[in-house]
Amino acid sequence: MKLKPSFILTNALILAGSFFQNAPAAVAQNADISKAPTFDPNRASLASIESTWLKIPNSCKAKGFNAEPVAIEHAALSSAVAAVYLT
Amino acid sequence: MVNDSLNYRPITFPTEAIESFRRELSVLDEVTPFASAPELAERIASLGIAREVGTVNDELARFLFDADCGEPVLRESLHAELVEWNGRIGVHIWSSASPRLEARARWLPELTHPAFSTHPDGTLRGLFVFPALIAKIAALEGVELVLVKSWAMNSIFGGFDPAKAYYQTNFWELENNDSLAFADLVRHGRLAFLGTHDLIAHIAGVRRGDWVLLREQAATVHRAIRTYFESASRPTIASLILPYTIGVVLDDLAQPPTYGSVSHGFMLEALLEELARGRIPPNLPTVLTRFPPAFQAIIDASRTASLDAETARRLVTEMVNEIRTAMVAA
Repeated sequence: MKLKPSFILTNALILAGSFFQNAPAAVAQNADISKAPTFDPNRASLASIESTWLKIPNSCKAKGFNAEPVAIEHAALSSAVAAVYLT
Repeated sequence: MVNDSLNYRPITFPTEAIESFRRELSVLDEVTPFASAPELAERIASLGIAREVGTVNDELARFLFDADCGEPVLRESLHAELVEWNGRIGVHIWSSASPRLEARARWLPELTHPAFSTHPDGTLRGLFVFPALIAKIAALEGVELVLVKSWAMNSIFGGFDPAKAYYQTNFWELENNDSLAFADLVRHGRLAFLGTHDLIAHIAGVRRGDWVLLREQAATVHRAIRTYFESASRPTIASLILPYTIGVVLDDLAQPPTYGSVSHGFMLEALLEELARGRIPPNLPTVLTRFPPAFQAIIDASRTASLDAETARRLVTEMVNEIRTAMVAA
C-alpha cells in the first residue's frame, strides 16, 4: 500500500504535537463558511482514546519481540552464512 | 602486518549527510529492496539501529548478558557507533560496563560479524551488524529485506523521539492502517529492516520453510483488510481497531519463535471472521471515546498456548462490543 506523502506528513505533524480536543464545527449563520473550523472525527477519536490507550501495555502493541532470553550454546555458523561474511 | 580487510573504523554522518539520505529516500518508491539501493539501505538501517541502542526502544538490550556474572547488561551501559569495514557501513554495539557479553537470543549470533564480535573463548566483545550482509543472509532463506519509506520518514528521519516509548508510533500505525502495509510486505516474502525490532524479532532466525504458511496467512489478512475498507476513503478510528489487532497478531506470527503458532492462528481466524461480519462500518461517522480493554486480553490470549477457538471468538466478540459501545455519533 502506498501512502501519499501529504497524508503522511499531515498526520505526522499532528501526532508530533500533543493530542488536542476538537469541538464540533460552530454553526454561525452569518459566518464565512470557508473560514469555519472543520470537525475531524478521527482527530477527536485519537484525543479521546489516548488515556485508555496508554493503559494498554506496550508489549501488546505493535513492534514487540515476544520471546524471552534463553541461554544458547555457541554454534558454528553454517557454511552459507559464513560465506556471506567472507564477501 | 595488519590485514586491512579485518579492520573497521568508526565513522559519523554529519547532519547534511543524513539530510541527503532523507532526500534520496524521498524520491524512491514506498518499498525499496536493499538490493536495489544497497548503499542507501545500509546507511538508513544502520542509523535506525544506532539511534535505538540504549534507549527504551532498544529491543536487543534485554538479550545481552554479562558473560562473567550472568546478569543482564544495563540498558544504559549500551552504546552504538557507526562503522565502516571493507566499504560497508554497519553498527558496533557494546556495553561500557561489560567487556564480555553473551547474546541470549537463539539466532542473533548469525547476524553479528564473527571476525570482530568474539573473544577467543566465544563470548562477545560487542555486536557488529552490517545490514547489507544481513540482507544477503535473509536472502539465503528467500526473504527480501526492504526499506519502507513512510516508516523510515516517521522514525529515523525526525518523526518520533527514540527516547520515548513507542506509543506515538503505534498511534500512527493505528491511524494509517499499517497492518495492511505489513501484510503486503510479508505476503510478498519481504521484511522491513529499519531498527532493532526488525533485527531481533523478525530477521534473526528467518527460515524459508516457515514462510510458506506465513505468506498464506499474510495474503489472507491483506485480502480481508482490503475488502473491508474498499469503499472507505478515510476509515474511522473505531473501524481501524480490528485491523490493527490483526496486524499485531500477524507481527507475532512473523517472529521465528511463534512461526505457525496454533493459538495465534485461532485468534487470527476469529478476528478475520469478525471483520467480515462488518459490525463496525468504516464509513459510519463516529467518534470513539475509549480504546477497548479487551484488546489486551486478545493479545495476551494469542500468546497463550492453551487458547482454543471458542475462547478466541468470545474475546473478539467482546472487543467489538466494547468498540460499538464506545462509539458516539460525530
